[in-house]
Amino acid sequence: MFPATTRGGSARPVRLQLRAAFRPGRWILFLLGVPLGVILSIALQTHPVPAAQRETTIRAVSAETILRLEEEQRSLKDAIKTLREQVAVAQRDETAQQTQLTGLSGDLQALKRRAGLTPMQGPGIKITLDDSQSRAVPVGTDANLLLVHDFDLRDTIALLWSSGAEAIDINGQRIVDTTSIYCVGTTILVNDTRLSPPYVIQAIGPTGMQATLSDPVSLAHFKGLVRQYGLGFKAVGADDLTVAAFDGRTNPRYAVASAR
Amino acid sequence: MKRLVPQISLALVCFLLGLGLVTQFRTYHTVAKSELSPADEALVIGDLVDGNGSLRREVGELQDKLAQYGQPGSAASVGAMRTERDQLQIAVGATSVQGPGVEMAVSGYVRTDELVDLINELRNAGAEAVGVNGRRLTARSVFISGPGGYSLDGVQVTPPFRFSAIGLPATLETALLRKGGVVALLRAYYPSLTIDVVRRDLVQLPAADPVASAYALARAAS
Repeated sequence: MFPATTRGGSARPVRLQLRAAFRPGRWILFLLGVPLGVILSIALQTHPVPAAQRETTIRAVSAETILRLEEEQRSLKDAIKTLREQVAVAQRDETAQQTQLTGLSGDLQALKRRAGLTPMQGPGIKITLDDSQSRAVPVGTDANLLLVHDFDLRDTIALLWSSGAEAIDINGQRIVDTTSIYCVGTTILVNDTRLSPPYVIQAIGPTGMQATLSDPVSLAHFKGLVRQYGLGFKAVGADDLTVAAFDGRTNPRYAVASAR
Repeated sequence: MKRLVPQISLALVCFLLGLGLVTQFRTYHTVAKSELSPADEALVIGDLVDGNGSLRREVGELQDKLAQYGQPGSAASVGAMRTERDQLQIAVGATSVQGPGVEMAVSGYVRTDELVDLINELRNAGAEAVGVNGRRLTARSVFISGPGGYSLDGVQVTPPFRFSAIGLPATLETALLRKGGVVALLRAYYPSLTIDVVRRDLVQLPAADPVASAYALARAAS
């Protein structure tokens, strides 16, 4: 609308402004602007890979690691403290249990000896009873008279106990509280184990047992059969016998301890 | 107005310059603030790693140690040994016992070996504990016939002879009363004798007297 005026009016203020900008006072502003530009550009350029900051990051991580490791150390030390206390308690318990075990072990050994579960050694007597080996038996003789019977063994053993025997076995079968000496047909069972003649009885005890066994009054019935039908009977003292351990069942099924 | 614009520009530039300087300085200051040098930090970390490693081993060893206690050998063994001891005490007559069984009364004198035969019969039928006239029997128990009557393990016993046995009642009774058995034979030999056998739910027997051993020694395990 007003082209001339506009063209002429605009040239003069521009020139005035330029001149004002390059006045000496403005150089300070220019000089300050340069280092500012430098600082800013450095700051901006170094920002993506800031060496100092990278180091800071690494060192922050190290500090964190140290803290973490120290935390771990604390918890490990706590764990050790707790565990040491538990071990100490366990050791005290163990010691108490060891004492109990020692006591129990002694009790058990004594009980096992008493129950016949231990082989025993000592002086004693060895008695052999055997069926008749004689061929000069009259025809028609009762065959029962030519055999050793369960009651013969029972009588012999009762005699041995009464003369002080402390441990007895027959053909390796230990005589214990529950032992029965039993006859099935012509077979003798001791501790439910079949035995066959000769029957060798070993008894540990005083030497007086031999005198008792040799007394004609003792086992008179069997000794009569020995003389008459040639059954075997022999009683020999021994300085060192080993009587077998019981190998059968000892656990009671019906009997329980009662308070008395 | 003309003088104000450049002054504001100057102030703005100075502000930015100061801001830039402070930022740069702070960056360096942060780095310099750490108490340890990087080399020392590495040492500390190394020490901590080593130290924690050995602490962890210590924890492991203590855990193993703790696991060993409280293992067999201790509580379990004590329990097992007690059970065995209790059973043996019953078996050897070290304790008074009770249980089901039978009672048998023999009204008069029979021979001592016949009394032994009756006991043998009970044992053969599985009696776990046997007593006569209230006395517990062991393997070593003996009846002795003397001028004044019978003695059992040194104590006088007189008829009726009352036998008590703990075991399965039916088995014990059947064994005693079987045809041709000991009771049948005794009844035949002694017509005036009465032998009563009764099953019992509860038979009680005292402990046996302990007996000493002077000759027999436990053979050392070889």
